[in-house]
Amino acid sequence: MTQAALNFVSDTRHSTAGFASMPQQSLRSADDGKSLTRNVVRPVVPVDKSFEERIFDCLVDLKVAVANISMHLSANERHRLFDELDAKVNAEDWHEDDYLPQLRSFQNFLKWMIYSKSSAWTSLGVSGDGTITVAWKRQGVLLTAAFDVAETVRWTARVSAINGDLGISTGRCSLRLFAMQAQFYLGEVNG
Amino acid sequence: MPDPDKSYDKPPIVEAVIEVRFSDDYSIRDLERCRDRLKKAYPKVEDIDEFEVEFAPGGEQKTKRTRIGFKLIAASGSDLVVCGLGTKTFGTSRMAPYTGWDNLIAKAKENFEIFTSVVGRPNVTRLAARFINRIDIPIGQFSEAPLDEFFNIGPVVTSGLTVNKSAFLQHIQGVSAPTGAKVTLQFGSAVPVLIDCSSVLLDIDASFDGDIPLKLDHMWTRVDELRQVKNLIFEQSITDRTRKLFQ
Repeated sequence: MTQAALNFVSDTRHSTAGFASMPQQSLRSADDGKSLTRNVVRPVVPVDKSFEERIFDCLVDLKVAVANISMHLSANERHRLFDELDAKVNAEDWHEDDYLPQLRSFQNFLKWMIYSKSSAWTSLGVSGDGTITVAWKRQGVLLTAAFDVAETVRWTARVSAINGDLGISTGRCSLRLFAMQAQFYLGEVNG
Repeated sequence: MPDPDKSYDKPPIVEAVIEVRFSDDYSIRDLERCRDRLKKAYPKVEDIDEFEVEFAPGGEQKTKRTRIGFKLIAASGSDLVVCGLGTKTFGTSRMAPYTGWDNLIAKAKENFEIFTSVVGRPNVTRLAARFINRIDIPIGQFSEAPLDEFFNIGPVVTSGLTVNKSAFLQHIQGVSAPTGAKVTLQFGSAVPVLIDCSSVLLDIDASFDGDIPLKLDHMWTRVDELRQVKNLIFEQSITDRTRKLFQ
Protein backbone atom coordinates (compact mmCIF):
# COMPACT_ATOMS: atom_id res chain seq x y z
CA MET A 1 0.00 0.00 0.00
CA THR A 2 1.41 3.40 -0.95
CA GLN A 3 1.53 6.46 1.26
CA ALA A 4 -1.27 7.88 -0.79
CA ALA A 5 -3.58 5.02 0.13
CA LEU A 6 -6.64 6.03 2.09
CA ASN A 7 -8.14 3.79 4.67
CA PHE A 8 -11.63 4.35 5.96
CA VAL A 9 -14.55 2.43 7.35
CA SER A 10 -17.82 2.52 5.47
CA ASP A 11 -19.88 3.41 8.51
CA THR A 12 -20.30 6.78 10.12
CA ARG A 13 -21.54 7.57 13.58
CA HIS A 14 -25.20 7.30 14.26
CA SER A 15 -26.91 10.64 14.58
CA THR A 16 -28.10 9.90 18.11
CA ALA A 17 -24.53 9.98 19.26
CA GLY A 18 -23.41 12.88 17.12
CA PHE A 19 -22.16 16.05 18.69
CA ALA A 20 -23.19 19.17 16.86
CA SER A 21 -19.93 20.99 16.98
CA MET A 22 -17.40 18.51 15.70
CA PRO A 23 -17.33 15.26 13.72
CA GLN A 24 -16.83 12.23 15.93
CA GLN A 25 -13.88 11.11 13.87
CA SER A 26 -11.96 14.15 15.12
CA LEU A 27 -12.72 13.22 18.69
CA ARG A 28 -11.30 9.79 18.28
CA SER A 29 -8.11 11.12 16.83
CA ALA A 30 -7.27 12.62 20.22
CA ASP A 31 -6.13 9.22 21.38
CA ASP A 32 -6.14 7.31 18.11
CA GLY A 33 -9.51 5.81 19.06
CA LYS A 34 -7.94 3.12 21.21
CA SER A 35 -9.39 4.17 24.53
CA LEU A 36 -13.01 4.49 23.45
CA THR A 37 -15.71 1.90 23.37
CA ARG A 38 -16.31 1.76 19.67
CA ASN A 39 -19.41 -0.34 19.41
CA VAL A 40 -21.79 2.56 19.25
CA VAL A 41 -24.52 2.35 16.67
CA ARG A 42 -23.83 3.63 13.19
CA PRO A 43 -25.66 3.29 9.93
CA VAL A 44 -23.92 1.19 7.34
CA VAL A 45 -23.99 1.47 3.56
CA PRO A 46 -26.70 -0.99 2.50
CA VAL A 47 -25.78 -3.94 0.36
CA ASP A 48 -28.12 -5.72 -2.06
CA LYS A 49 -30.96 -7.19 -0.07
CA SER A 50 -34.11 -9.07 -0.89
CA PHE A 51 -37.48 -7.30 -0.88
CA GLU A 52 -38.44 -9.00 2.41
CA GLU A 53 -35.17 -7.94 4.00
CA ARG A 54 -35.62 -4.35 2.83
CA ILE A 55 -39.14 -4.24 4.27
CA PHE A 56 -37.93 -5.69 7.56
CA ASP A 57 -34.98 -3.29 7.70
CA CYS A 58 -37.31 -0.38 7.03
CA LEU A 59 -39.58 -1.50 9.88
CA VAL A 60 -36.63 -1.76 12.26
CA ASP A 61 -35.36 1.70 11.21
CA LEU A 62 -38.78 3.19 11.98
CA LYS A 63 -38.77 1.48 15.38
CA VAL A 64 -35.28 2.80 16.07
CA ALA A 65 -36.66 6.29 15.36
CA VAL A 66 -39.32 5.69 18.01
CA ALA A 67 -36.71 4.32 20.41
CA ASN A 68 -34.58 7.42 19.92
CA ILE A 69 -37.21 9.67 21.44
CA SER A 70 -38.86 7.06 23.65
CA MET A 71 -37.93 8.90 26.86
CA HIS A 72 -40.59 11.44 25.81
CA LEU A 73 -43.30 8.82 25.21
CA SER A 74 -45.27 6.63 27.57
CA ALA A 75 -44.95 2.86 27.22
CA ASN A 76 -48.52 2.77 25.84
CA GLU A 77 -47.75 5.34 23.18
CA ARG A 78 -44.63 3.44 22.17
CA HIS A 79 -46.42 0.10 21.97
CA ARG A 80 -49.26 1.62 19.98
CA LEU A 81 -46.80 3.00 17.43
CA PHE A 82 -44.98 -0.34 17.23
CA ASP A 83 -48.25 -2.24 16.72
CA GLU A 84 -49.29 0.14 13.95
CA LEU A 85 -45.90 -0.13 12.26
CA ASP A 86 -46.04 -3.94 12.44
CA ALA A 87 -49.51 -3.87 10.89
CA LYS A 88 -48.58 -1.47 8.10
CA VAL A 89 -45.01 -2.29 7.14
CA ASN A 90 -44.87 -5.94 6.14
CA ALA A 91 -43.98 -7.94 3.05
CA GLU A 92 -47.58 -9.14 2.50
CA ASP A 93 -49.00 -5.65 1.92
CA TRP A 94 -46.22 -4.16 -0.17
CA HIS A 95 -45.01 -4.63 -3.72
CA GLU A 96 -41.40 -4.61 -4.78
CA ASP A 97 -41.72 -1.35 -6.74
CA ASP A 98 -43.48 0.56 -3.92
CA TYR A 99 -41.66 3.40 -2.22
CA LEU A 100 -40.98 2.38 1.36
CA PRO A 101 -41.89 4.72 4.23
CA GLN A 102 -39.46 7.64 4.48
CA LEU A 103 -37.62 7.68 7.77
CA ARG A 104 -37.27 11.48 7.86
CA SER A 105 -41.00 11.88 7.28
CA PHE A 106 -41.75 9.52 10.16
CA GLN A 107 -39.27 11.32 12.41
CA ASN A 108 -41.04 14.59 11.66
CA PHE A 109 -44.36 13.07 12.68
CA LEU A 110 -42.79 11.89 15.96
CA LYS A 111 -41.32 15.35 16.59
CA TRP A 112 -44.70 16.90 15.97
CA MET A 113 -46.42 14.38 18.23
CA ILE A 114 -44.15 15.24 21.16
CA TYR A 115 -44.32 18.98 20.50
CA SER A 116 -48.12 19.01 20.29
CA LYS A 117 -48.51 16.46 23.11
CA SER A 118 -50.88 14.70 20.76
CA SER A 119 -50.78 10.93 20.61
CA ALA A 120 -54.48 10.33 19.93
CA TRP A 121 -54.12 9.61 16.22
CA THR A 122 -56.57 7.18 14.64
CA SER A 123 -54.38 5.56 12.01
CA LEU A 124 -51.05 5.89 10.22
CA GLY A 125 -50.48 5.35 6.53
CA VAL A 126 -47.91 5.82 3.79
CA SER A 127 -48.49 7.77 0.57
CA GLY A 128 -47.25 6.71 -2.86
CA ASP A 129 -43.92 8.49 -2.44
CA GLY A 130 -43.26 7.10 1.05
CA THR A 131 -44.51 10.13 2.99
CA ILE A 132 -46.11 9.29 6.34
CA THR A 133 -49.79 10.17 6.53
CA VAL A 134 -51.82 10.36 9.71
CA ALA A 135 -55.58 10.48 10.29
CA TRP A 136 -57.60 11.67 13.27
CA LYS A 137 -61.28 10.91 13.43
CA ARG A 138 -63.67 12.58 15.86
CA GLN A 139 -67.40 13.21 15.95
CA GLY A 140 -68.05 15.01 12.62
CA VAL A 141 -64.37 15.68 11.92
CA LEU A 142 -61.82 13.85 9.80
CA LEU A 143 -58.37 15.40 9.80
CA THR A 144 -55.63 13.93 7.62
CA ALA A 145 -52.04 15.11 7.34
CA ALA A 146 -48.95 14.20 5.35
CA PHE A 147 -45.64 14.91 7.12
CA ASP A 148 -43.04 15.58 4.48
CA VAL A 149 -39.29 15.35 4.87
CA ALA A 150 -38.88 19.14 4.81
CA GLU A 151 -40.75 19.58 8.11
CA THR A 152 -43.94 20.84 6.53
CA VAL A 153 -47.38 19.32 6.77
CA ARG A 154 -50.05 19.12 4.06
CA TRP A 155 -53.39 18.70 5.75
CA THR A 156 -57.09 18.34 4.96
CA ALA A 157 -59.97 18.77 7.40
CA ARG A 158 -63.44 17.50 6.58
CA VAL A 159 -66.10 18.77 8.96
CA SER A 160 -69.73 17.52 8.86
CA ALA A 161 -72.50 19.39 10.67
CA ILE A 162 -75.60 17.70 12.11
CA ASN A 163 -77.79 19.35 9.45
CA GLY A 164 -75.69 17.76 6.69
CA ASP A 165 -73.53 20.77 5.86
CA LEU A 166 -70.05 19.75 4.79
CA GLY A 167 -66.90 21.87 5.01
CA ILE A 168 -63.54 20.96 3.58
CA SER A 169 -60.36 22.92 4.32
CA THR A 170 -56.82 22.23 3.22
CA GLY A 171 -53.51 23.78 4.11
CA ARG A 172 -49.77 23.51 4.18
CA CYS A 173 -47.74 24.73 7.14
CA SER A 174 -44.84 24.11 9.48
CA LEU A 175 -44.91 21.44 12.19
CA ARG A 176 -45.43 24.13 14.84
CA LEU A 177 -48.38 25.71 13.06
CA PHE A 178 -49.95 22.35 12.40
CA ALA A 179 -50.10 21.76 16.14
CA MET A 180 -52.41 24.81 16.30
CA GLN A 181 -54.48 23.63 13.31
CA ALA A 182 -54.95 20.19 14.83
CA GLN A 183 -56.02 21.69 18.14
CA PHE A 184 -58.54 23.87 16.31
CA TYR A 185 -60.19 20.93 14.55
CA LEU A 186 -59.83 18.27 17.20
CA GLY A 187 -60.10 20.31 20.39
CA GLU A 188 -58.14 18.60 23.12
CA VAL A 189 -55.93 16.56 20.82
CA ASN A 190 -55.17 13.97 23.45
CA GLY A 191 -58.86 13.34 23.86
CA MET B 1 -22.86 13.48 47.59
CA PRO B 2 -24.83 12.31 44.54
CA ASP B 3 -26.46 8.93 44.76
CA PRO B 4 -24.88 6.59 42.16
CA ASP B 5 -27.79 4.15 42.53
CA LYS B 6 -30.43 6.73 41.64
CA SER B 7 -32.85 5.60 38.94
CA TYR B 8 -35.14 7.66 36.73
CA ASP B 9 -38.59 7.13 35.23
CA LYS B 10 -37.39 8.29 31.83
CA PRO B 11 -33.63 7.99 31.73
CA PRO B 12 -31.98 10.09 29.02
CA ILE B 13 -29.77 7.21 27.89
CA VAL B 14 -29.90 6.89 24.11
CA GLU B 15 -27.36 4.14 23.94
CA ALA B 16 -25.72 1.87 26.52
CA VAL B 17 -22.91 -0.46 25.50
CA ILE B 18 -21.01 -3.20 27.29
CA GLU B 19 -17.96 -4.07 25.27
CA VAL B 20 -15.28 -6.72 25.56
CA ARG B 21 -12.06 -6.21 23.65
CA PHE B 22 -9.67 -9.07 22.95
CA SER B 23 -6.24 -9.65 21.48
CA ASP B 24 -7.02 -12.78 19.47
CA ASP B 25 -7.21 -12.79 15.71
CA TYR B 26 -10.33 -14.36 14.32
CA SER B 27 -11.17 -15.15 10.72
CA ILE B 28 -14.13 -13.69 8.91
CA ARG B 29 -15.53 -17.23 8.87
CA ASP B 30 -15.51 -17.24 12.70
CA LEU B 31 -17.43 -13.98 12.67
CA GLU B 32 -19.94 -15.29 10.17
CA ARG B 33 -20.58 -18.37 12.30
CA CYS B 34 -21.08 -16.15 15.30
CA ARG B 35 -23.39 -13.85 13.32
CA ASP B 36 -25.46 -16.83 12.18
CA ARG B 37 -25.88 -18.03 15.77
CA LEU B 38 -27.05 -14.62 16.93
CA LYS B 39 -29.25 -13.90 13.95
CA LYS B 40 -32.35 -15.50 15.42
CA ALA B 41 -32.55 -12.95 18.24
CA TYR B 42 -31.07 -10.12 16.16
CA PRO B 43 -32.50 -10.54 12.66
CA LYS B 44 -31.44 -7.28 11.04
CA VAL B 45 -27.91 -7.80 9.79
CA GLU B 46 -25.59 -5.03 8.65
CA ASP B 47 -22.11 -5.95 7.55
CA ILE B 48 -19.31 -3.55 8.40
CA ASP B 49 -16.84 -3.24 5.56
CA GLU B 50 -13.55 -1.48 5.26
CA PHE B 51 -12.59 0.11 1.97
CA GLU B 52 -9.07 0.80 0.84
CA VAL B 53 -8.69 3.12 -2.10
CA GLU B 54 -5.29 3.39 -3.72
CA PHE B 55 -4.49 6.23 -6.08
CA ALA B 56 -1.59 5.59 -8.40
CA PRO B 57 0.21 8.06 -10.67
CA GLY B 58 -1.70 8.43 -13.90
CA GLY B 59 -5.07 8.47 -12.25
CA GLU B 60 -5.41 4.72 -11.83
CA GLN B 61 -7.49 3.83 -8.82
CA LYS B 62 -7.84 0.50 -7.01
CA THR B 63 -10.50 -0.24 -4.45
CA LYS B 64 -10.43 -3.12 -2.00
CA ARG B 65 -13.34 -3.99 0.22
CA THR B 66 -12.81 -6.15 3.30
CA ARG B 67 -15.45 -7.35 5.72
CA ILE B 68 -14.36 -6.43 9.23
CA GLY B 69 -17.43 -7.04 11.29
CA PHE B 70 -21.17 -7.00 11.60
CA LYS B 71 -23.94 -5.24 13.42
CA LEU B 72 -27.08 -7.15 14.39
CA ILE B 73 -30.30 -5.46 15.46
CA ALA B 74 -33.26 -7.03 17.24
CA ALA B 75 -36.72 -6.64 15.73
CA SER B 76 -37.60 -4.08 18.40
CA GLY B 77 -34.79 -1.84 17.13
CA SER B 78 -33.53 -1.34 20.69
CA ASP B 79 -31.12 -4.23 21.23
CA LEU B 80 -27.95 -4.70 19.24
CA VAL B 81 -24.79 -6.70 18.96
CA VAL B 82 -21.72 -5.29 17.23
CA CYS B 83 -18.70 -7.44 16.53
CA GLY B 84 -15.56 -6.10 14.90
CA LEU B 85 -12.67 -8.06 13.51
CA GLY B 86 -10.52 -4.97 12.98
CA THR B 87 -11.31 -3.45 16.35
CA LYS B 88 -11.28 -6.88 18.04
CA THR B 89 -14.37 -6.05 19.98
CA PHE B 90 -17.63 -7.70 20.89
CA GLY B 91 -20.33 -5.45 22.25
CA THR B 92 -23.94 -5.57 23.37
CA SER B 93 -25.91 -2.34 23.03
CA ARG B 94 -29.21 -1.08 24.26
CA MET B 95 -30.87 1.91 22.68
CA ALA B 96 -33.60 3.90 24.43
CA PRO B 97 -35.75 3.08 26.28
CA TYR B 98 -33.09 1.92 28.70
CA THR B 99 -34.46 -0.84 30.90
CA GLY B 100 -31.72 -1.02 33.50
CA TRP B 101 -28.28 -2.42 34.10
CA ASP B 102 -29.48 -5.88 35.12
CA ASN B 103 -31.16 -6.41 31.75
CA LEU B 104 -28.21 -5.02 29.84
CA ILE B 105 -25.59 -7.13 31.58
CA ALA B 106 -27.76 -10.25 31.33
CA LYS B 107 -27.92 -9.77 27.55
CA ALA B 108 -24.20 -9.01 27.38
CA LYS B 109 -23.40 -12.24 29.21
CA GLU B 110 -25.78 -14.26 27.05
CA ASN B 111 -24.33 -12.86 23.81
CA PHE B 112 -20.74 -13.25 24.98
CA GLU B 113 -21.45 -16.89 25.84
CA ILE B 114 -22.66 -17.46 22.27
CA PHE B 115 -19.57 -15.69 20.95
CA THR B 116 -17.22 -17.86 23.01
CA SER B 117 -19.11 -21.03 22.13
CA VAL B 118 -18.34 -20.31 18.48
CA VAL B 119 -14.83 -18.88 18.54
CA GLY B 120 -13.52 -20.10 21.90
CA ARG B 121 -12.58 -18.06 24.95
CA PRO B 122 -10.74 -14.93 23.85
CA ASN B 123 -7.87 -13.27 25.66
CA VAL B 124 -9.73 -10.24 27.01
CA THR B 125 -7.70 -7.05 27.18
CA ARG B 126 -10.33 -4.44 27.94
CA LEU B 127 -13.78 -4.26 29.54
CA ALA B 128 -15.90 -1.18 29.01
CA ALA B 129 -19.27 0.36 29.67
CA ARG B 130 -20.23 3.32 27.54
CA PHE B 131 -23.36 5.31 28.24
CA ILE B 132 -24.47 8.05 25.88
CA ASN B 133 -27.02 10.38 27.45
CA ARG B 134 -28.94 12.90 25.39
CA ILE B 135 -30.55 15.54 27.52
CA ASP B 136 -33.30 17.46 25.73
CA ILE B 137 -33.86 20.84 27.36
CA PRO B 138 -36.70 23.20 26.37
CA ILE B 139 -35.04 26.01 24.44
CA GLY B 140 -36.74 28.69 26.54
CA GLN B 141 -35.10 27.36 29.71
CA PHE B 142 -31.74 26.60 28.12
CA SER B 143 -31.22 29.87 26.30
CA GLU B 144 -31.95 32.04 29.33
CA ALA B 145 -29.78 30.30 31.91
CA PRO B 146 -26.03 29.71 32.04
CA LEU B 147 -24.73 26.22 31.33
CA ASP B 148 -23.83 25.66 34.98
CA GLU B 149 -27.51 25.88 35.91
CA PHE B 150 -27.84 22.50 34.20
CA PHE B 151 -24.40 20.90 34.39
CA ASN B 152 -21.54 20.81 36.87
CA ILE B 153 -19.06 20.36 34.06
CA GLY B 154 -18.42 22.49 31.02
CA PRO B 155 -15.83 24.55 29.24
CA VAL B 156 -14.09 27.29 31.18
CA VAL B 157 -13.29 30.25 28.96
CA THR B 158 -11.67 33.64 29.41
CA SER B 159 -13.79 36.51 30.61
CA GLY B 160 -15.44 38.32 27.75
CA LEU B 161 -16.03 35.11 25.81
CA THR B 162 -19.45 33.50 26.06
CA VAL B 163 -19.88 29.81 25.35
CA ASN B 164 -22.27 29.15 22.49
CA LYS B 165 -24.49 26.51 24.07
CA SER B 166 -25.50 25.11 20.71
CA ALA B 167 -21.90 24.59 19.56
CA PHE B 168 -19.50 23.44 22.25
CA LEU B 169 -17.59 20.28 22.90
CA GLN B 170 -15.44 18.99 25.73
CA HIS B 171 -13.32 15.84 25.70
CA ILE B 172 -11.78 14.71 28.98
CA GLN B 173 -9.81 11.63 29.90
CA GLY B 174 -9.13 10.63 33.46
CA VAL B 175 -9.03 7.87 36.02
CA SER B 176 -11.75 7.12 38.53
CA ALA B 177 -10.00 7.27 41.90
CA PRO B 178 -11.78 4.50 43.84
CA THR B 179 -11.65 1.85 41.11
CA GLY B 180 -8.79 2.78 38.83
CA ALA B 181 -11.15 2.68 35.86
CA LYS B 182 -10.14 4.76 32.89
CA VAL B 183 -12.82 7.29 31.96
CA THR B 184 -13.38 9.19 28.75
CA LEU B 185 -16.00 11.88 29.08
CA GLN B 186 -17.38 13.75 26.10
CA PHE B 187 -19.77 16.57 26.71
CA GLY B 188 -21.22 18.83 24.07
CA SER B 189 -24.15 20.16 22.14
CA ALA B 190 -25.95 17.88 19.70
CA VAL B 191 -28.26 18.37 16.77
CA PRO B 192 -31.68 18.88 18.44
CA VAL B 193 -34.09 16.02 17.92
CA LEU B 194 -37.20 17.81 19.16
CA ILE B 195 -38.99 21.03 18.24
CA ASP B 196 -38.05 23.98 20.47
CA CYS B 197 -35.57 21.92 22.47
CA SER B 198 -31.79 21.95 22.68
CA SER B 199 -29.98 18.65 22.98
CA VAL B 200 -26.82 18.06 24.97
CA LEU B 201 -24.84 14.83 24.92
CA LEU B 202 -23.07 13.48 27.96
CA ASP B 203 -21.09 10.47 26.79
CA ILE B 204 -19.36 8.46 29.52
CA ASP B 205 -16.97 5.67 28.65
CA ALA B 206 -15.56 3.77 31.63
CA SER B 207 -13.13 0.91 31.13
CA PHE B 208 -10.57 -1.39 32.64
CA ASP B 209 -7.62 -1.78 30.33
CA GLY B 210 -5.52 -4.77 31.32
CA ASP B 211 -5.46 -7.03 34.40
CA ILE B 212 -8.74 -8.58 33.35
CA PRO B 213 -9.62 -11.60 35.51
CA LEU B 214 -9.50 -14.93 33.69
CA LYS B 215 -12.47 -16.40 35.54
CA LEU B 216 -15.65 -15.37 33.79
CA ASP B 217 -17.57 -14.61 37.00
CA HIS B 218 -14.79 -12.34 38.18
CA MET B 219 -14.65 -10.67 34.79
CA TRP B 220 -18.33 -9.76 34.96
CA THR B 221 -17.86 -8.52 38.53
CA ARG B 222 -15.31 -6.07 37.12
CA VAL B 223 -17.89 -4.94 34.57
CA ASP B 224 -20.34 -4.38 37.43
CA GLU B 225 -17.81 -2.02 39.00
CA LEU B 226 -18.02 0.13 35.89
CA ARG B 227 -21.69 0.68 36.58
CA GLN B 228 -20.89 2.57 39.76
CA VAL B 229 -18.21 4.57 37.97
CA LYS B 230 -20.44 5.76 35.14
CA ASN B 231 -23.38 6.40 37.49
CA LEU B 232 -21.30 8.51 39.83
CA ILE B 233 -19.85 10.58 36.99
CA PHE B 234 -23.30 11.13 35.52
CA GLU B 235 -24.80 12.19 38.84
CA GLN B 236 -21.89 14.51 39.60
CA SER B 237 -22.13 16.07 36.13
CA ILE B 238 -25.75 17.19 36.29
CA THR B 239 -27.66 19.58 38.52
CA ASP B 240 -31.07 19.12 40.14
CA ARG B 241 -32.58 21.32 37.43
CA THR B 242 -31.47 18.79 34.82
CA ARG B 243 -32.57 15.85 36.98
CA LYS B 244 -36.09 17.25 37.02
CA LEU B 245 -36.26 16.92 33.22
CA PHE B 246 -36.32 13.13 33.32
CA GLN B 247 -37.69 12.30 36.76
